[in-house]
Amino acid sequence: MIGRRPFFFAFLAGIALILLPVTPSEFRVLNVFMAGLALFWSITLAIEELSGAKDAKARKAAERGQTQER
Amino acid sequence: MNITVVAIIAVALAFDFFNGFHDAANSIATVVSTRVLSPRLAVAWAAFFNFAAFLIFGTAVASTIAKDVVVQDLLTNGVIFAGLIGAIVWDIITWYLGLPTSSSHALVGGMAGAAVASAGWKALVSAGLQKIAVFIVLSPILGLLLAFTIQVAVFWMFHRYEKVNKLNRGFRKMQLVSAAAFSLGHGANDAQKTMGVILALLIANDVVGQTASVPLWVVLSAHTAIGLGTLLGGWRIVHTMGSKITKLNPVGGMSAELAAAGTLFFTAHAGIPVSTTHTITGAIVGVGTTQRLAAVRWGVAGRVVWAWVLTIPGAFIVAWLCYLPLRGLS
Repeated sequence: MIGRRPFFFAFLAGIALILLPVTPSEFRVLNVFMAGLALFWSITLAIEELSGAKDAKARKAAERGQTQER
Repeated sequence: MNITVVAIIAVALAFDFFNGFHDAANSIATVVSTRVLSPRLAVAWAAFFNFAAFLIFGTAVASTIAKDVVVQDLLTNGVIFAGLIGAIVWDIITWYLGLPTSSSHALVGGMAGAAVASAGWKALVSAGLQKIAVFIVLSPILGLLLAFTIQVAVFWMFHRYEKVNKLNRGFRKMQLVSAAAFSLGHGANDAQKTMGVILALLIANDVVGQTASVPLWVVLSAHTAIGLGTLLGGWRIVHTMGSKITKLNPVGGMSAELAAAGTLFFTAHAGIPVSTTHTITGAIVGVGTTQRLAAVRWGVAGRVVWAWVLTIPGAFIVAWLCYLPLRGLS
């Protein structure tokens, strides 16, 4: 399950990209940089949260297995 | 220079003083809330670096304010005076309410309102206003992203380090550097806005030529005014910025200030008048987000956003109303 943070950063990337056409041309590289950075964090956080959820599931399953053995 | 010009310069410096009084609290909020410095020392520290900014940065922001908000031929003494009064009144209202709004946007809104009252919508420079409007949104987001990145990088670098007390002491020292950097950025960006107003006034009265750069006495007086304002600044906004948005520790304070300083250095260099308040707020939210979204008090952040949204129209209306009895000055 992905939490809210990856979506928050994806939202920020969206804002930077939406503003691209109205940003003066000499500063557009900044929009692209910001969108790239926000997407990077969005993807990184999503991966972290997905792998964290997987680990938690595996831990729970292991704990359940130990209880049944006892 | 006639007496009217001198009087308006005095009002512009008063605005700069209020800007220091109102906004400069931001630069010390994190240092005070993390107890790295006592309030008195923090204020003196910020005031010194506000003043020192003139040695490092150019005057690109001043140029933008003087030439890219209102069509130069339509800038009159009355417009500049009413614009300043609109911005000062708006600043006082929001200071009283403890809202960290932007003095810079109050100034832009005020100048625009007075110019529209004087000559209609054609008085506005759409390209310049577009640049300012875009960065109203971009600067806090840039601050947020940089603060998040710096904070995560610091965590990565030091998460195996076991001497926590020693580490904290190191970060407390680093926060002095980051607070100084942010104060430099604040001085560079906000003092230049007043310089821009004074430059516009001097051009409008033919004291200097249309293509003149900012005279040194203007630079020095603007930095002195903002530095003095910082020294006497209020504490309501320190409280909002330093503790209500998210809880900060020395590492977080340092990351937020470095991120905000980086954003302000870039915008000062590029000649974009952004809000130091917006930028540091975005950076503080960025630090809070490294823990979890719930670590940020979104209710307070939302109140701040509403204040931002209202600043330009609020100052616009006050300045528009101020201009009406001042038509004679034009």
